[in-house]
Amino acid sequence: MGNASSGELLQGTLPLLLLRILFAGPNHGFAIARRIQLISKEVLRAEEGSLYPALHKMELEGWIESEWGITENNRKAKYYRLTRMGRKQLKLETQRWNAISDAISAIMSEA
Amino acid sequence: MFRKLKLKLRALFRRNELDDEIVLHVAQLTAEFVAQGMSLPEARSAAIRQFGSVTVIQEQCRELSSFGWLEDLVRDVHYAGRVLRRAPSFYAGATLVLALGIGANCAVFNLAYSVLLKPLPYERPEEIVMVWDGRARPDGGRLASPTNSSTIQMWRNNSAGVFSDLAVMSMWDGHPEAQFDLALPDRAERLRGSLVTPNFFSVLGARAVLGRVFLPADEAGGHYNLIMLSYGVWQRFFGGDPGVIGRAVTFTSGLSGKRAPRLYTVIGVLPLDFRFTYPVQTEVWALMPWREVETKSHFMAVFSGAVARLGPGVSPRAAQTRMAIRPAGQSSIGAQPVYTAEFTLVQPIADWVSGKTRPSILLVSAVAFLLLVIACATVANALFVRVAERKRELAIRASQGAGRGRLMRQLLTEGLLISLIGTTGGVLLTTALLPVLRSLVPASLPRAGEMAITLRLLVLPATACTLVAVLVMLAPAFQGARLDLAQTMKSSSGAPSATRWRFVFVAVQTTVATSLLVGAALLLTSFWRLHQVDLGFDGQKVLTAEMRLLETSRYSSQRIVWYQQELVQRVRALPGVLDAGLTSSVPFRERDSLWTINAVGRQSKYNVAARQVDPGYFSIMRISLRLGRLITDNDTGPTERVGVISESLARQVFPNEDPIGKRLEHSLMGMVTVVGVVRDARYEARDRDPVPAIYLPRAQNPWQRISLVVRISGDRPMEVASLRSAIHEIDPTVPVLGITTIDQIISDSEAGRRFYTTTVGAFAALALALTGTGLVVIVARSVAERRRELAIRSALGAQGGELVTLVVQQGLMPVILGATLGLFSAWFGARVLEQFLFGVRLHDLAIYAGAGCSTIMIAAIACLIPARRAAQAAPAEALMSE
Repeated sequence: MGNASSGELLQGTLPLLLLRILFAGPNHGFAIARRIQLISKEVLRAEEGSLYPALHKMELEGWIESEWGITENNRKAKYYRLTRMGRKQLKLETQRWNAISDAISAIMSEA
Repeated sequence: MFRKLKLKLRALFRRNELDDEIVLHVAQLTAEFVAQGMSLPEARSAAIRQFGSVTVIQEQCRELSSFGWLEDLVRDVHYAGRVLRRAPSFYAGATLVLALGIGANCAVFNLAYSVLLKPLPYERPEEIVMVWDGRARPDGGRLASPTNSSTIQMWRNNSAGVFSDLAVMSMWDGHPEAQFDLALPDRAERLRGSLVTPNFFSVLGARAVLGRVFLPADEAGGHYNLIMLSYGVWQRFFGGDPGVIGRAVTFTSGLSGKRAPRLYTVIGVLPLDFRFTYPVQTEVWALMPWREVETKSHFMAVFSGAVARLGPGVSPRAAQTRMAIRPAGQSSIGAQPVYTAEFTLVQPIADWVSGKTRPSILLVSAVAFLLLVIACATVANALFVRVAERKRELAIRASQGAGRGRLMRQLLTEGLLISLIGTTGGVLLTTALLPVLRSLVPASLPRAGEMAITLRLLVLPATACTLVAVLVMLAPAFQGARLDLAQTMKSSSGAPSATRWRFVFVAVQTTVATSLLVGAALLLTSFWRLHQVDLGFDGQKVLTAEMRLLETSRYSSQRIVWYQQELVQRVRALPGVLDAGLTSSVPFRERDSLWTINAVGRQSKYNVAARQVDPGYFSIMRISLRLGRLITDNDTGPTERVGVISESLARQVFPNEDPIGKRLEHSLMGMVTVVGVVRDARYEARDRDPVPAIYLPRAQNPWQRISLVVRISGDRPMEVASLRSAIHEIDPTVPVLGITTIDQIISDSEAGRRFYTTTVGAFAALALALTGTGLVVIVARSVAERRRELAIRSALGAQGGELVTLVVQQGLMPVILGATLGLFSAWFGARVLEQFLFGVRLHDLAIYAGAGCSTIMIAAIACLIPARRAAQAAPAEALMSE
């Protein structure tokens, strides 16, 4: 499985990733974790220990909402979906990430 | 905002959602692992491993919602419940101890509230004061004295600016006088009543529940035969009939020559909770117009007083100073002065009602509180031990991700749950036992009968409960929260700080228990010494009943003599009666009439108790003769008036002389020749010196008040009914009062002392028992902790006895410290007991030594129980068990 030390997420980036993944469509916790792993080619890993608390926090913030549904292999699962507020938040966080990312790139290339 | 709340509520009620999510996640992981080629069990454990601590995730999610604390609380309570169920006998014991402590406090507070704190049933009762004309007793006490109209006039003159209003009522020594005979179809019922001025009820701010109260306008009305009934009389004799208002009812009332049947108009009934006198209740109130007060007609032989409402901003003390001003040249007393100093006493009505009982109630309250302290310390200590035993469990919880604060909260919740159960138990216990408590409390305690569990009174147990929880759990919680995980998992020995806490708790317990023991021993010794006091008479198996021949129109002196003879003859003939005699006052029941007599040929005057007795009296009461002769059947008629005096009077009047043949004089008895001297008898109380007394033959001094004394064989119970009917046969219109035994009267008079002595004694015993029980638990724990060490010692050849000594010595250390501290605090605190003691020194060394030794002895026994068990344990087993 993924290398835990290299897979650690940068502080505060998990909500951004979760929002982005859910932007593609509603999904449940396990699938979200897997998608992060898949898309990042096993570089990033959302630890279960922070995934669910983060999802719950986002739900309380009103960025996402949840409902119970059935998975492809017929299991009951809680599906999270982006709300309007969540979209706004995603935009905000994306901008911020881009700014930080640009800044880091600039330092890395010029320092 | 609203949405957030909804979500939070949803999170609260759908806690299982998270669990379902986790289950799904783990299942998916497992499926993946299986797909990678693991076996199902392997896959499952790998999945669980990867998922990590479910607890931590749950905790974190929960803390997000602000209802987290509530959820935590629910879980803590749930968990605490489980903890409690796991060691039921231990926690049952702990809650029982708390229930006892809180129950005792609840009951005592209840009593204190109804006797001392509960407002009296008047309007703004704090403004109401009693006004008495008093004399100082020779022994420093105070005595209300007969008040005449000039004193009352003086009070009224002085009252401007002091009292907003002042009313006068007739009283006999602070009690309503039993002199209203209600005529019923078949008999007369004697009721206790007062004559009151028209403004009496308006001063108190009392309203009638039916009809109306007396009004100042009744003075001008001209029709003065108006009466008000207490609720009880209305129910008992009029069946609660509302039509009683306006009805004319016959009462025989008045004193001396004025006593006659009169028609009174009932104008009102007072509410059920209205009372004016305690503990004896006034049953009827008759109108006494001011004009009669001023013409002295009612004040010949009546003790009376006034009740007044203080003017705005006037304190009782200021009022007393103002009221004492006497117009120059006017003496308030018409008759001979009984006692020298005079004063006007102004006292808040609450003091009049319950002032005398305040010290004993406060004493019992303080002792109950100390008992609660001990109960708390006992439970805290036991729980402490329990937490130490549960260290492993706590450590596991901590390793599962429970934070320190979380653990502490958990332990506090347990404490709260225990004290909640304990408090509930205590309150239920008190409620269940309330009827028993009411019967235990002496009837002489004013207002104690009003005890009831009300919502307001639950404030105390609730406060106590919280305090107890904090007290009981604080130390263990700190202890529990300061767990060193690794160390705890490795060993089971107690941390040094825990040992220190235990030491402190045990020391506190023994301190309190020892000082309680000293107090109880002082009180019990006093009680015992009091009962050693020789009363000078023997009231055992002596029955008494009281008659008053108040109607002078029917009972002339000759008629009274006839009545007396009839009475004695008829009663003597009753089965079970050994002898019957007569007196004017029964010991311990009512005050003697105090006369100031002269001795012929001497200047000084002497205050003596005058008792009119018949020849049989001395042998029935077993009052023995010292000199001369007793009163005989021949001492009749006005020819040679004789008297028998008590030893103390003989010493006082005729020191170093033979009193026989000497003459004494008083206006009511004329010139009397002393024919005999008898032993002193304590008539008032065990702890009061006998009053010098003169006994006069009833045949020469017919007296309206007749008290029958009957010595009964006791083989079979004397039938009260037959006694009553024998008396009624002579004259059915004379009511018979207070049939009881003299022993019972004495016992009743000591009910207050017995009450606080037994209460303090019982609480002290309980405190000692709790301390002992607590010690057993503690020492058992420390033995368990030192099992290895003791086993090694034993393996190395230490004898069982040596091990026992070792354990007991260590267990006794805090006890000895506590007992010493307890003795010191008792030594310096004993002063508060001074007023309760009799015949025992405040610093009686034997009592202190005894108390200290008893505490240490009981503690030693408590230590021995676990110590012996430890010594008997097989060393090999102990060594291998870890």
